[in-house]
Amino acid sequence: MQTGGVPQLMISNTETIPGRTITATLGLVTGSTVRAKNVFKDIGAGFKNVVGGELTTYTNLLSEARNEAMLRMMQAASGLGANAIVNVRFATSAVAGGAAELFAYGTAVLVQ
Amino acid sequence: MADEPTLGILYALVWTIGPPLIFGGGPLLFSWLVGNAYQKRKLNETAAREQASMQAFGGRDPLTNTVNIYTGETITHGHLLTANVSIGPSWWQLLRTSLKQLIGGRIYSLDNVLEFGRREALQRLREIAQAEGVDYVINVRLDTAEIVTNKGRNSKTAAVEIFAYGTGVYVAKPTDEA
Repeated sequence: MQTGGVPQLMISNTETIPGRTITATLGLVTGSTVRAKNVFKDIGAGFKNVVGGELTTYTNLLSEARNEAMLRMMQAASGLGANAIVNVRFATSAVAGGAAELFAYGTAVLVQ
Repeated sequence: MADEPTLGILYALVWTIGPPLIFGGGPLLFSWLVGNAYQKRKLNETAAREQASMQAFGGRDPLTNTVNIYTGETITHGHLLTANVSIGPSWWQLLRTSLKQLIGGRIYSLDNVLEFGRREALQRLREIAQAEGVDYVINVRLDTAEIVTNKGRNSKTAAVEIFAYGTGVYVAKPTDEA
C-alpha cells in the first residue's frame, strides 16, 4: 500500500491513533469500489466448489478491491488535509449478481 | 480371440457404469470422498499454524477484541492490519444442506466450513501481525459477506468472504524507558 502516490496516513480502527492525541476532527471520509468477478475465474471457483475450502481467486480479488476502496478513502482524507483516519469500518454488499461493492469509511482527523 | 468376451463385458460395464457416474452421482461421490478429507486437512493445518503463532508471541494470543490492553504496558504506536479469506462449501455439503432444509434443524456440515473460514482469517491476521512485528492487535473485528449467492435447490455454487481487521500496536519495551 505504501507506494508512490499513496498518501502517508496513519490509519486505525480504534477511536484514537495509539500513542497520539487528536487535535481536530475533519469529518467523515469514505471510499468505495465495485468489482465484478470475471467469467473464467467464476468457472474456476465453481470447480473448486466441488471440494469446498478456500477460493483463492475471490480472496485475492476482494483483497485488491478493498485496498482500492481504502486508497480512495485515504485520498479523500488527504484532500481534507488530514494526517490520520480513525475508527475505520468496512462494509461489503452484493449490488448485482456477480458484483460486490467494497466500502471503507472512517473519520479524518489531525493528530500531533 | 479368447479376449473378445471379456472385452465385451468390459465395454458393457464401462457403458453402464460410466455415464451415470459422470453425469449422475460421480462428482458428488468425489466431492464427498475428496472434499471432506481436504477440508479436514486444511483445518488441521490452520490449527497447527495457530499453535506456532501463539508460541511466537510467547504463549499468548496477540488478538484482542477490546480497545485497551489490560497488561499494564503502554501502547506507543500502531496501524491498521487486515486479512481476508473466501471460502465455499463442497457440493456434498450443499446437498446435505438442501436435504436438511426439508426438516429444518442444525446444519452441522456448514458449521465446519464457517469455523474453518473464521479461524483461517484470524490466523492470517496473526501471521500478518507476526510479520509486521507488532505486539498486540487490538479492536479485532470480523465481517462476513456473501459473495456468491446460493440460489437454493440445484444451485452448486456458494461462497462467503470472511474479513478480519484490527489495529496492530507496539508497546513500550522496558529497555526503552531505561
